[in-house]
Amino acid sequence: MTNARPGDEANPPAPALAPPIQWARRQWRAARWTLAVSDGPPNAAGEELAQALARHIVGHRLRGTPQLVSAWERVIGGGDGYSPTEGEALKAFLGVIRPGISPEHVEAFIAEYLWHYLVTHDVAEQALVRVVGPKFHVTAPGGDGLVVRRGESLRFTLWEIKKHSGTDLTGSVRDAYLQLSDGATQYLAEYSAVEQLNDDRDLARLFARLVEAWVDGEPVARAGVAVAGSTAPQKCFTTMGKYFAQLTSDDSRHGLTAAVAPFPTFALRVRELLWTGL
Amino acid sequence: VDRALDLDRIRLALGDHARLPSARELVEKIAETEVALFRGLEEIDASLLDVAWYLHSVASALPALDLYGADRQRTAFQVSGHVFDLLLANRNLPTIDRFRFMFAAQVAYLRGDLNPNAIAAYRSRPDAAALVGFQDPSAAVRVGSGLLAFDTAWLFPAMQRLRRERDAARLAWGVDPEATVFGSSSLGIDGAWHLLLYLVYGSADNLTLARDELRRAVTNSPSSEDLDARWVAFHLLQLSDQLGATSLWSVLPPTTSPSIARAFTLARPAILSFWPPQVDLLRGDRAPNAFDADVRRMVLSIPTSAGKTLLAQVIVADHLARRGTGVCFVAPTRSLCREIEASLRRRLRLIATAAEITVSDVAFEIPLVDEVAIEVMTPERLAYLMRADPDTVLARYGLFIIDEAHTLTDGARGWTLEWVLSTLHHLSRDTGHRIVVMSAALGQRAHLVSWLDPTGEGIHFHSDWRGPRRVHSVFTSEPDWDHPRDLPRPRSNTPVRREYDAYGVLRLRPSGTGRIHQLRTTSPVGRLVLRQPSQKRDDQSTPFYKTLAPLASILGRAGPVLIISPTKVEAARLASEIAQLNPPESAAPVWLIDLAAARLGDLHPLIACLRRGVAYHHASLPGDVLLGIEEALSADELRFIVATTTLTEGVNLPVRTVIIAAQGAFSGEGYEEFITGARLLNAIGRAGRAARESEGWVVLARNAAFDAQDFERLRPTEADMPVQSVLVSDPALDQLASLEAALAGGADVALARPGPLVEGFLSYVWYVASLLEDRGQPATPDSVSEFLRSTLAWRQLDDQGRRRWHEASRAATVAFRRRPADARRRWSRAGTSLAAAAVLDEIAAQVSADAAAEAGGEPIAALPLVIRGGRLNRITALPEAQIRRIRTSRGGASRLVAIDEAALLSDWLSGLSVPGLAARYLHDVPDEEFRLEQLADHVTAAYENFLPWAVGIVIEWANLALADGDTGIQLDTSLPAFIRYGVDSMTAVSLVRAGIPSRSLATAVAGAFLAERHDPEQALRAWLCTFDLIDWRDRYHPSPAELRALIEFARPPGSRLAARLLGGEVVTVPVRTLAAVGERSAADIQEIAGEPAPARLGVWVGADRVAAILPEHYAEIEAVRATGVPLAVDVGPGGEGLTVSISLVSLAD
Repeated sequence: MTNARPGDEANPPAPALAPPIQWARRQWRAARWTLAVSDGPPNAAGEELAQALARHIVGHRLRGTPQLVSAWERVIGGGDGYSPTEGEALKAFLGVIRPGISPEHVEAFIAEYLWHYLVTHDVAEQALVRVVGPKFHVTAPGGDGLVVRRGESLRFTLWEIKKHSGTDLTGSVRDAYLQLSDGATQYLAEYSAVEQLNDDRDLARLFARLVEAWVDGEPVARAGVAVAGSTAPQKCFTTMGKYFAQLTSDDSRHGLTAAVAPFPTFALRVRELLWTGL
Repeated sequence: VDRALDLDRIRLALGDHARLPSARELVEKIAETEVALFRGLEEIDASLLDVAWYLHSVASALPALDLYGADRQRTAFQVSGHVFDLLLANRNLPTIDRFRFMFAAQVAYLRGDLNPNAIAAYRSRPDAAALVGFQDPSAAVRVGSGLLAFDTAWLFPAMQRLRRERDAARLAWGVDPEATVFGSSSLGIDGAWHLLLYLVYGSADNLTLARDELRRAVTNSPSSEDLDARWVAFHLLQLSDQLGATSLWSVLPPTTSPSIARAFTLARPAILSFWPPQVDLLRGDRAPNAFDADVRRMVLSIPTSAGKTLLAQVIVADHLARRGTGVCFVAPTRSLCREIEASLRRRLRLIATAAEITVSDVAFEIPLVDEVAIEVMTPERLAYLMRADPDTVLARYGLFIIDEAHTLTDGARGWTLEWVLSTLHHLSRDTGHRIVVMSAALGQRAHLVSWLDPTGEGIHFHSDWRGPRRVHSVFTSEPDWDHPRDLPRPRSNTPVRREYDAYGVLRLRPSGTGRIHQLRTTSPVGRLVLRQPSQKRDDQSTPFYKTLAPLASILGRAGPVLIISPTKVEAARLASEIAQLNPPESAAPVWLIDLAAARLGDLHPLIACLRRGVAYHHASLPGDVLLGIEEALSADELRFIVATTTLTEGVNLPVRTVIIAAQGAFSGEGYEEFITGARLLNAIGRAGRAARESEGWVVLARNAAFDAQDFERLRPTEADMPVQSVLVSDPALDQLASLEAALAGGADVALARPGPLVEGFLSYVWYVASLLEDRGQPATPDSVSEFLRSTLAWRQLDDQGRRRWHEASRAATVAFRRRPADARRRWSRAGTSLAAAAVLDEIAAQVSADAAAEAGGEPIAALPLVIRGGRLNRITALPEAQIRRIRTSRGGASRLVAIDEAALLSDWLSGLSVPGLAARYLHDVPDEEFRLEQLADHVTAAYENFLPWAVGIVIEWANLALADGDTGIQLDTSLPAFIRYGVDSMTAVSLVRAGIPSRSLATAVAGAFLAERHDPEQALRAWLCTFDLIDWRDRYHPSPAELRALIEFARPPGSRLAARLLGGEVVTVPVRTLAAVGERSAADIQEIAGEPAPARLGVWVGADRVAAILPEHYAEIEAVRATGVPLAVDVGPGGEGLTVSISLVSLAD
């Protein structure tokens, strides 16, 4: 079950089965923390998650071309290989993690999509209204993701997503804080412009005011930092308040850690699934 | 305070936010950044970025969402544009961020109605010429930026490539890219493409299509993560209404020929959208309307860099297309005339209506060629034509555009413009003639309006709008009083002298807070030496101008610097000082140095300056050298130019920084400030090149202690620049009093010399009297007064003033009637004072008497007769000649040097160079630099202006006398032109008149033509076109400007090749065959790589160069290529060799 709004094409189709993710939640004064933990491949649960994520990525990146989604399903299911045009198309749309791209980039890509997968599957969160991200050129500078949810009112969360190797977790989280706090106005200005044409007037007004709401620390504005890696830390996001001091409302700072061990193997496996037959 | 940093406006835009700087803090942050940039630093406060995006976001909110008011949003755009612009100064920005900031700035500037700054911001783009691929992450922002800068030359090829790649991808993928992650990018490119097509070619369908595609690009679901593409599309969509409404296709009336709009949208620089004042004036719903034939008078007051010239061009183009008469475009200097002509030529070449254009370099001839539809001329030339035959002038021209009309106030030249305008106005009061008067500096506009349009039926348009901001600053040199040093006293009677280091101090007041930011040089710029105990300044102190040179040198890092100097001598001195601070590698372009050296000699002081990248520019330098300097500056090939105000009055040469070195100078009557009012405003107005930079810097140098009021000096008010008739001025009234005294003493009014203003007035009275006589009307004081009442003076004089001038007019009219009819008619047309006309009349009589002894038949040479018997000396001694006497040295025990003017003139005509002339005639001047400088001054003063005119009059009058005497003898009338250009054949004259800027090139080409042509009937143009550009280079070694002039000369008059091509015709022309081509094949026209500009144009089939474009077609084909419009070219056999056929590629989908 997801909270994706029916007919909202910008959101990915829900997978048939939710994979085996263990969710946990903690609340610090500085931030609310969501933990998502799963084994990675070759463990069966890990393989299941890799397949689900690969399917999620294909469903998302190829959502305008269901025939290509079917082609991928066909190939991954052991059917006929790709036709030349299908192959060319998939190479173009998944080219960002083509073989030869550095493992760093592949992991960053997988981290962003894992975040996307989790925020669209986290049933404990408020109803999902709109998700934008991960950005098309993953390595390009810019906002990593924006989520709008509806509780008593509409609220948005601007996300920054990082992968980590375990040893550099603190550094990765701090980098994410800095990048998000430094770049927020720019990222939000872009989201603000492009989402104003929404037919839902309340939503359009929210988007038009993203930057102002952020700058003024209005209750509608939230910051989110997500990190993905092999391990789940014992403690995380305890200093987030320092970086987003203007966001003082309840639940306005959100941390997400995704632990899939071992993450590099997981990332490469997802890429392998995506590029099978290409 | 520039409006961009007005505290109230920033407060309005910003609102109040705890996490953002307050309005006051923001103003100061911006100001500090400006100051840092002034110092050449790139210290950008990071918090400015948050403000910039915040304001951009506020401004970008859709109005339908009712979040912010329109005024706040507009102001927020303006401020964010400014901040983004400052952020772009950071050279370390990643490419993608640079494009994002640039696009954000462009959007902000356009939506903030500061259009030219959007183009200026685009100049900071990296890898400017790069054509990116369809899947490149920066493709969207690059296209968006290019479109908002109207960079058609890049857009056409770049977008065609993107669209081709996208179409190829569609085939390769088997799916529509719109349905993919590339959907927003694909749709955005289509939307931008159709917006471009609309802006360039019109057709509302393109605009509709563009809007639809852009909207879909923003909302396209499969590519919702392509934020950049969506963001660019969103802003282009929001701008599409504005661009649509300000495009030429919307603003120009539907009755306007499409070729007119195309002339602006295609010729470079492409004008795809009008700026706010242009829209205000030209919009169709304006009443009265600028295109309405009933609007016969327009007074346009628009600041420099606000698009005044373009307005005039539109009015000219519309006039030519709709009415059967020509256009007379008047500008105060020959340089400006050339510039106006060149920019009109670029555009009008593309207009379907045949519209040849010429610039009249001389005032003493009537080369009214039939095909010429537009003539750009000085007021003196129009005065000459009016004197010769006003009816022909009125029959020929239906539209008169008077640019820089504030020069009405400039002494004797001002009066010339006033009487010409008055007379035109008077004679056309009941006709359909249109008179457009324009200026950037018109105080008391109401006077001008009530003068030219008393019934108020015309258009009186005033705008304060301008694109680039200006930062004002004041420079002083300040001693370090805390560290005095006593100078050694070699002798006991040497006075005690105390020395202080002097530092340059620059004060800026960039913001509305009034805070003054002070910058001080880190090392001394000179020293102050005071005698003790009197504290009198000692001569060992550094002169002020020398302390200014380091500042100029520093500011030159940011862009070209124009230093306005009050006198010619100071201009040259300061230029030399700046040059000494520049490294050798900063030299001006070789072609300019070569041109100046050939014209002035290697040792002329200008040459040494040019070798270090500094030019000076004043009226004593030859016209072709001045033109070269202007060209180099506008092509960004010259960093420093020190000029007198003749430049700022004369040429539209904007720069990054203007330094006013001093506002006045010492004369016999003490220190007098004259760079004030309109003159100052014109100088300041050159700071900040519209569409090239969004900010200009102005420095006022003050050789005095700083006073905060100095900033006010840089803001002349309208009251400081009244448009006041010269006849109302004190000098004129003083001269009038002299005349009155002379008349009371029984003097002959016609021979009186009360001063140039009154003499000009008396000449005008004679002209009017003669005009009346020609029309069979009595030349009475009352009938003359009818004309006087049409002058501006008559509107501005009080009753007593009118009575006094009327009396002078009465005396002149009476004197007119006393003179013999033929003499008074001649004198009225001389264009000199009556007293000078009397002298010239005597000389003409002597010349005709001498000539009568010659044999009839061929016209006889005039030179020997003109110089015989001291006649030449009499002419050059006339007060009008204003020829400075040659001196042995600059100062000290200088004495006058006698020159054999007749021999000098003969050698000048024989083609002897300036250095050669200097060596021969000025050997008594030991300093070679000073010798060359004086000779160049002499040549310019005598031969470029006065002498050709005076000699022309003598020859004309002598010929009249010879004709009356039935002698069958006539003098050759070529001499004035020979003198003017320093050449000895009409072939060379025709080249110079056609725009060949240098005497030596004209002489060389003419000489070769006359010696080499086999067929005496062969015309010069045809002969020249038997060669190629490369031959021209080899034979004559022309500078780029000269080569372009030869190319222009080679173009047959009336050739409409470019206009026909852009009008949709297939144009086929012969080419020079280089290799055989069997059948017509697709081809490409390209410049030949490795050749300096302008390079030859080759025709390629694949990798093979098979032909070359002929010189006669070069100019027009290059004009079409410069538009960037895709062309279809094929080459194949035709006629005796190969031909190429060129047509527009169909751009419809």
